[in-house]
Amino acid sequence: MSLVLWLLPGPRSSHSTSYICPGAWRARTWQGPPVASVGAPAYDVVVVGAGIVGASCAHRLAEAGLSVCIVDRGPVVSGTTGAGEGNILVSDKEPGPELDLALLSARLWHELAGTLPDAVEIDAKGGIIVTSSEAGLAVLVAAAERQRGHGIVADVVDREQLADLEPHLSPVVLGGVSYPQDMQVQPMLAAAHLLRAARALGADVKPRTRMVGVERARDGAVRGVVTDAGTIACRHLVNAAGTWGGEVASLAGGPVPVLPRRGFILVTEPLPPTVHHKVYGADYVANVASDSAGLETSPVVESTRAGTVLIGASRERVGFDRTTSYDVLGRLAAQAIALFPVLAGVRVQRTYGGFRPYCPDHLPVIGPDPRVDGLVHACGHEGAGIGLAPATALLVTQAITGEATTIPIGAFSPSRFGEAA
Amino acid sequence: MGEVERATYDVVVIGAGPSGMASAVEAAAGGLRVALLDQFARVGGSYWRHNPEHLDDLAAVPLHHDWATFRRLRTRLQTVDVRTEHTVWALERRELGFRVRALRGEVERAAVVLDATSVVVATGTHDRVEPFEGWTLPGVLGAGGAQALLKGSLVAPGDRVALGGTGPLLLVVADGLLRSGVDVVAVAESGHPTKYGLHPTAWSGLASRSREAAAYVATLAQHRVPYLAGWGIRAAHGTDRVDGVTLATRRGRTKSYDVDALLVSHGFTPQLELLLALEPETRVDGDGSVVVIVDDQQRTSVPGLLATGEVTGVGGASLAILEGYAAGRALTDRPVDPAVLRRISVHRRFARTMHAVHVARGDWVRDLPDHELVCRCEEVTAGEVRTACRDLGVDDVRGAKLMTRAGMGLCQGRMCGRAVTDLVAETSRREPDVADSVRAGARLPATPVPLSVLATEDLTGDAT
Repeated sequence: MSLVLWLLPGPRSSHSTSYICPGAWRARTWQGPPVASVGAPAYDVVVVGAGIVGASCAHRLAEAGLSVCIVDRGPVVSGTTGAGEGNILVSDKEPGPELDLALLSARLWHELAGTLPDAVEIDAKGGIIVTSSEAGLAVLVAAAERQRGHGIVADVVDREQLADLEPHLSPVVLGGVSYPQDMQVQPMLAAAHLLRAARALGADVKPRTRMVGVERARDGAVRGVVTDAGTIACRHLVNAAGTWGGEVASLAGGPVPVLPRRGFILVTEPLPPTVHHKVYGADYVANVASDSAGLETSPVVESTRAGTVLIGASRERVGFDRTTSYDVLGRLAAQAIALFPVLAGVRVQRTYGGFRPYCPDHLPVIGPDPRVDGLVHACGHEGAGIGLAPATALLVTQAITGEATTIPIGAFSPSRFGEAA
Repeated sequence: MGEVERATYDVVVIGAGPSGMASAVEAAAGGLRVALLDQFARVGGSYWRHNPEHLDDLAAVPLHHDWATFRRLRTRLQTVDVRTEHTVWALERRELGFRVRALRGEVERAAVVLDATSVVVATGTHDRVEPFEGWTLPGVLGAGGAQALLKGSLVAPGDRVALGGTGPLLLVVADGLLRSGVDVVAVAESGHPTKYGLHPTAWSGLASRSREAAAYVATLAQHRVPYLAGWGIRAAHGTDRVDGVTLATRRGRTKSYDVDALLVSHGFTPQLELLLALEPETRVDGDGSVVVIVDDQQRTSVPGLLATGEVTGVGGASLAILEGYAAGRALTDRPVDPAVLRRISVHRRFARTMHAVHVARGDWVRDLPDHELVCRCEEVTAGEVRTACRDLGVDDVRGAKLMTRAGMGLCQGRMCGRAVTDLVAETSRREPDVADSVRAGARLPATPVPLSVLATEDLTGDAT
């Protein structure tokens, strides 16, 4: 319910604001007239959204020496980051721009593992896609062939090897492909610790602060983010609002088509080690890339450090409807049992749902908006936001500081949707 | 997984305590087909928890109140489909009416799916216990749980017992213990019962209740048990088991007692998880509990969904029975006796006074050492929650859950939810809002459910 409320703009602030615009970008990009500062805090960048992507951007921007303020309409990590499994995957990506992004991000996650506390549970456990049909196996093997030329380690495994890797897998599973680069992280703690690190570098975090508009200079450039708690002067606005990125983009004058794709997750009671990797049914990859509006479910089963088993994944385009679908929960349960019969008697302790932010072409929106000087997007990561956050943050920072980007970002540009997006 | 049992009723009543029994009896009397569900093996709820051998032996149930009412209601349940050992894990709104999903049996649990035009939720409360130093020691028990043990099995919690917290339950339990021969060393009431004097009208129309209260006080006096108003529990002591308790006033005066059991109650938390899934309108009651809003016929804002008893505001069994009766009448479109409506309002007025008098001390958060647990299921300490607030920006109970796992264990925050809420509020200096509490209280499944049971939903989801 609170999610829907947020879509209604709050009262527009009548706050009159003065602007000061410090920072490294000034000589290069500042075009508007500097107005005398009367104590209004001002930032190089305001990041909207305190989920994993916003936290990563804030951290990376602060590291680059920029002054940063992060606002979120709710408490920290209250959106999709808090409703995910913590996937850092390469296995579900076909060669192309998103795979390049995923590989860069996986490398950055490895670096972060050295700096973030152990509590964020970064675990290079690896993933395995399995199938019970010969035809399915042929599809998996062909996909692995394509991926292998692009930096992905993809080992075809037969039934005996699977029995070693996952002793509790159903005997009907024929084989699969092992992806040792797939990782897992506790996404809420990762985001919170990134925010903490950003704060230590001088960033300000303002939870429960709702963006209601932008202030633009005469030339159209962003010069402030209007919130329900006043206007925050800034030169850049990073749209890291996840599933609500489409709303933020519209408020900022650079609309992008980001829509919700609902998912549910089941969490079991804690078990002794039962599932050792991320195990996906072969339908998972097909569903991730699917354009169907209807319900799709495919099993994703994995353990957490606490011993609970997480069971996903469902995809539905039903808007921001939070109503529990027992049909979906039932399918997820049935599919998990089909993969791991040992789970049949295990009890589900809780369930939760969330909204993946997706774009029509299933690519995230990353980079400067050509329509609004100072607006930079970092949203629409669908189910991959946790995994793709560090690379997104790096590219956003490079775009803002004017450095060359580590990988090309043209495929992620908001201009791909055309002027009328 | 075996067969799923299915049935259809006019009304499903969830919870067979005083108000659930009254609702079911009254609805059935109006000609409706009614099912009454309870997770335990016998009807009566925790208020009338009993040993079946004692059912007809009044001498064996000296601890029970309104036993005659219980026996009368129980007899009238003959026209109701009584389904004990049914644990409801989900309540779902359907196009026409509701679907109730339950597990039947204690060990080999079977899936039960019941459809009904109307549902009455009468799930009652669980004990509210504010943490203090040593509160997880063996021998420290919820007073309500100890009372149920005494009523159901005639087992006393110890030989030398102190009680602490707030509310009339402390007196009721002390009375029961004294009459069972247990040595009660002190009753620490953190509120100030003398303030009942400020609300003289609260007792009007409640002669039996005031006689009852007077009798409890008399029993304490007769056994020379100190009733310490304004005193709270500072700490329980002991290594393997509680062997002592320190009580303290707000100003820091302390008293210590040697005990082998410490019974604690800081009031009650209504069990709203099934209700909240359907998003009825709620409010915060005088005792700080989130409760569901009902009209004078116990109807919630969700059509067809009724709520009775403590889930509409903690007010005791007498009020709960009257509300149950009103709900049963409403379900059959029969008018509620105006005298009953008057009694309900008298009881509700008293409940408001009771909430104002028996206030939990609230300063436990300050006294709770960092090393002490707040969430027992996941073994999360007060220090971990405080650190999450200070370092990770947590300012609500959901954030605390996600960052520390407090409330993520088997009880899903039923026990610790309010304590964590208070701890987060104190540390982050932000008042919790109702929406936080409501969100934190909505849980699916309401009780752990095997994957195999969930999986059967796949085949049956569109049966109606």
